[in-house]
Amino acid sequence: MSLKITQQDRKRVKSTALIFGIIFVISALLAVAFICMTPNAKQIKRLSENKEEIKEMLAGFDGETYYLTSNNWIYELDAYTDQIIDGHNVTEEISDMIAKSGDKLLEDSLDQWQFHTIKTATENLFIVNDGNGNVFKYREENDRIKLTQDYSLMTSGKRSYGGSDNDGNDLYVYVEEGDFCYVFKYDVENLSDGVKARKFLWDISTGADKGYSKIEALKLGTGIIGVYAQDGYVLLCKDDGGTIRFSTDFVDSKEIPDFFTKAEQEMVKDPELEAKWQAKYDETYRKYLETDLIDRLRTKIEDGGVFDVTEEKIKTATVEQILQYYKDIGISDTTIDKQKGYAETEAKTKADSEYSLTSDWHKDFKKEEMNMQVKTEYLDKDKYQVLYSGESTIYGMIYSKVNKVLYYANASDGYLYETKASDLILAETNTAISEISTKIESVHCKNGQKFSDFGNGMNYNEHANTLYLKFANEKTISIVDINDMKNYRVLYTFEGDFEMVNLVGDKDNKVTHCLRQITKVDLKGKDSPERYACTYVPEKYQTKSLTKTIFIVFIVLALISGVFALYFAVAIKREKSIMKIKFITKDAKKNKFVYLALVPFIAMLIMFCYYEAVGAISMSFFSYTKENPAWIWNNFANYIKIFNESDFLSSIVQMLFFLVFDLVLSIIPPIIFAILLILIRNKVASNWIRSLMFIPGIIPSIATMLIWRVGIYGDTGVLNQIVVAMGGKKINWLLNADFAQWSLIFMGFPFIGGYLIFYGGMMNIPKEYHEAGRLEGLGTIKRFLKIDIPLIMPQIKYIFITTFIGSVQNFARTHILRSTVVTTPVQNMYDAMNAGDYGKSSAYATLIFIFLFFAIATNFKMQKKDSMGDDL
Amino acid sequence: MDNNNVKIGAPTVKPKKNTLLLPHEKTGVQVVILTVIIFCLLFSFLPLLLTVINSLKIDVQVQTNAFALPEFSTMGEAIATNFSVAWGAIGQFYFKTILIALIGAVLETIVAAILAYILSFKDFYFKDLVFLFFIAVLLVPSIIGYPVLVPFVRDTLGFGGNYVGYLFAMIGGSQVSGMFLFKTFFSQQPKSLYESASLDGANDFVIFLKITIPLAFPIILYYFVGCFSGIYNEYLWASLILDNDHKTLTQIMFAVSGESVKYGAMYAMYILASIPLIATTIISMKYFKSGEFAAGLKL
Repeated sequence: MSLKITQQDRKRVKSTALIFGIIFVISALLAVAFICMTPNAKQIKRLSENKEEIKEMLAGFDGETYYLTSNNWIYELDAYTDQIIDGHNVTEEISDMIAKSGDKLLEDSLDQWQFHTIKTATENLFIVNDGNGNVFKYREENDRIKLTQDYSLMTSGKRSYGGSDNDGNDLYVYVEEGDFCYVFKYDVENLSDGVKARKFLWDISTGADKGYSKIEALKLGTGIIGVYAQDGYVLLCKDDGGTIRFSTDFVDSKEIPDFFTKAEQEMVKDPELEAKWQAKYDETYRKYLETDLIDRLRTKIEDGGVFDVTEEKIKTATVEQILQYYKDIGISDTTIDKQKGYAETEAKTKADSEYSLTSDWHKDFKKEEMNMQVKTEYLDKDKYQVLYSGESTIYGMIYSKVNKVLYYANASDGYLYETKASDLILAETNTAISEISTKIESVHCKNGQKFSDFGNGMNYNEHANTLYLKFANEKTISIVDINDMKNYRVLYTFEGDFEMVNLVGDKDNKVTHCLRQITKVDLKGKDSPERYACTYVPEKYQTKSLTKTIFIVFIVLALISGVFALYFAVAIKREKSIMKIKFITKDAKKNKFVYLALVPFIAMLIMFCYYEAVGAISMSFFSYTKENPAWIWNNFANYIKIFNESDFLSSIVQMLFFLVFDLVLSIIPPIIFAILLILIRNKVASNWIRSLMFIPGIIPSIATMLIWRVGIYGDTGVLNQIVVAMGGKKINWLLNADFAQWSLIFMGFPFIGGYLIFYGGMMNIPKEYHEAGRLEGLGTIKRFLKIDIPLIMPQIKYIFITTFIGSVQNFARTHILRSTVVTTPVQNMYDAMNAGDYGKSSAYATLIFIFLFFAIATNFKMQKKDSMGDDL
Repeated sequence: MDNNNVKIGAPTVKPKKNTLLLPHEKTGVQVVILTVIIFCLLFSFLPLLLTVINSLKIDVQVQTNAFALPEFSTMGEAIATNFSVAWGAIGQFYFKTILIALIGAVLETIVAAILAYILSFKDFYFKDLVFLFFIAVLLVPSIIGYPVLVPFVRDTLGFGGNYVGYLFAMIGGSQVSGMFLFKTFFSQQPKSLYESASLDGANDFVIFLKITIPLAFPIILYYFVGCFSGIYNEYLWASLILDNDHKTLTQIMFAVSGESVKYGAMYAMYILASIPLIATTIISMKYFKSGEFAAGLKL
């Protein structure tokens, strides 16, 4: 290096240091600025705490979200920051209020209350139902959620969904009470007045006779998935795709439902129906009379003296036989007649109660016997109308009050359908909804897929007037803008396996909150479902990822320029460094094309190797999952989880077991085979054998493994065929714990696949060595041990190291052979990755990496020592 | 060439050497050796044998006796059904997979060769550092990066689940081992050739194409063939990154073998999948039978 340092060089170094310093300051400042601008870079973010199960969500009017948890808390959540603004415990509040108002009736049962429906009435006011038909009103004042004095308590009922009418004055709640289904009407402003009216719900279907309709009480378990009230009607949507519609001006339905009044009058005048009715009545009467009379006669007959009721004869006898018997033993006719009279009266009462509409059926009603037929024309569709789904299989129905349209997802063809409210009103009872609806051509499932049968497939964002549709298989949710009824369009689609009933969006469709149900499997193997709220932000509103990228660019820039600035700053004072810089600059100028050519290779290496390795090791310290891809520090929980896993130790042992066998089998049998080939006197034969040895390689390696799995180890595979032929029992080679690991080792028998490297190595040994050996008196075996094998050490090391790395990383063996009884760390890593637990998977990967790194480093070190020893 | 000499010379030399036979060259020992070798050969051929025999049988025959030779009466029917079912399963992705493996192998070989050329013959200040930077990757098991790599290729780079991202990441990751292999061989090439070429005014492209490649042709071919069958056989990375519209044969074979009870068709599928590998096998047979390339394989 005959380079001289000139003043100019010093100046250059100084100015370079300065330039790098300035770049460092600017980019560091920009990086800080951008990290402040980055709100939250996660697409889907988990909101709730781990242990709180979320039951219901509700979109507020200002983009905020309310949610109810299993602990009966209501939380208010800000839409854009996802911060909890306020939380209130519903149970405590209500018990407080009940205590204050002196109403102690329900105090005992408060613990068991589970609040699960939440509905808006008007802005800043929402209604909470518990599953029992109790309704409470919460009001939001000055950013605080407060229970107002109004609440209505009723003590029975199973579950309820609520809907309010146009003005939000009346609240209609679907309730199952006892054996029956009702809709209760409440006055939102005066909840404490209690239920204003109850509507008993009926199901009407086509009767057995033409022109007649069958009327039944609405069966329990009919899934009512929506209650809407608008324009004087209450509309109920059923999960089978049917609807029930009736006017809002109903009175308490303990009275006879009004639409029956006419039907009942007409019914009597209809001789055909009357006869039918009478026949049924008579039959019931006879049935009751007989059972009742026998019952009475069997038990006690007064003023007839002592009578043995346990007499065998009587127990099985008919009425006539009993009467005869009584006569025989001298009981008077009057006594028997008296009993007959009692029985007749009672049978009449019973039959009346079942087959007369005027009786107090409400109390003695038995739904399976309540099977009435009325002429369809007598049914007043304006008062009470029932429609059924028709040809379509309907998953999910939504009524948009803004559009006055009922939307439903047709699972049969995968299209969205609309039914106008005006058409609904005009339709006769028992019309199929598919007959009065139109297909929306622009909204349908992709690739002929069908709507999901899970989570109802549909939900509605009332503030933005958009529909959420869920497609099956793909697990995607599409958000459909229905504001323009002439042009429905899919706003965006996102991946997610949510329960659709629990998906709410804000009015701009900028944020979608979802309630997700996941199932976690704990170590004891019990499934524990966990529900949590998460936020989805559609891509077009994600300014976040860009700011994050810019932040990373600047931070990298700052780091690099910082290092350079420091280096150049130090260099100013050091002659040597300046010299070096000058030399490097000269070299860079000379070899600029070389450096330029290296850029793509290095870029690819960083992108596909270094980034992953560093990323995986970092990720192993965070809980990063597929569902919630957020870098959340978890205090080494991934590692703790791995070390606590019951099969952790056994998997390590398994790995070492495979490692030892793989190393031995990849070296010794091939070397022996290579030696044998060399020892063959006939070189033509040797040549042929080497050619032949290539041929098994034409089968793809995965196919070879599959052949071993199915063809050799399979249920009807070669080994089992041999075992059966020898009179043994079939063995599941890959799943039987006694055989599995040996089966996996044995795969690849006779293990000579890699012989060629050793053969080549030995053939390359100069003949002189062998001759010298022979002169020394070495026999054939000693020749190989003393000359050939030491000389092919490089090849053996090569195979040793590659086999070592390959064996530890070998996941195909356990995965492709589906031998689930044998687990190795790599298999566990793959499983964790497939389960979406990237954090844990990365922790496994890091452990494997550490193991391999130390193993290989030790190996290299030992080799170095060896070669040094050779030199000496 | 060597073999030819032996062939021709053998009869004449043999009687002379008879008296000087080494212990292992005695007939008895040779018979034992040959028996062992043939035994090993037979077992190595077992999967192939099963595949060929059973692809010609109907399912019931496969299940009852896998070793039985196909019956002539049912063979026509078996071939027709097995192969049509097999083709139905893999036909859609058959040529695609071959093309992808071919493109991938060509690219991998070119990338590794160029990189190895730069690192072998070019002198620049950071050469050792760059080499170390590349070689350090060999210590990192490729499998550990997958949890990060999958979202990176799919979303960050925006390739989704298509073949481009699949190949791109694979080439990026594989360049090091290829470079390492080639560098070992390139450095064994005579330096004088290069010196005289550059004195004659040949630039790097000419030297690379006219000297380096031809001299190292067998090892480049070896690497190319290895790359081809490597990509063709690859399963794990494909199963992680590719979506439903983009699949490789291995994925389909794995999926079909898991569910199907059509054993005959399964074996027929393996036969169809083997066809592209016949070419690579012939190349290997021709060039690598002698095992000469093994001299350079060391760490």
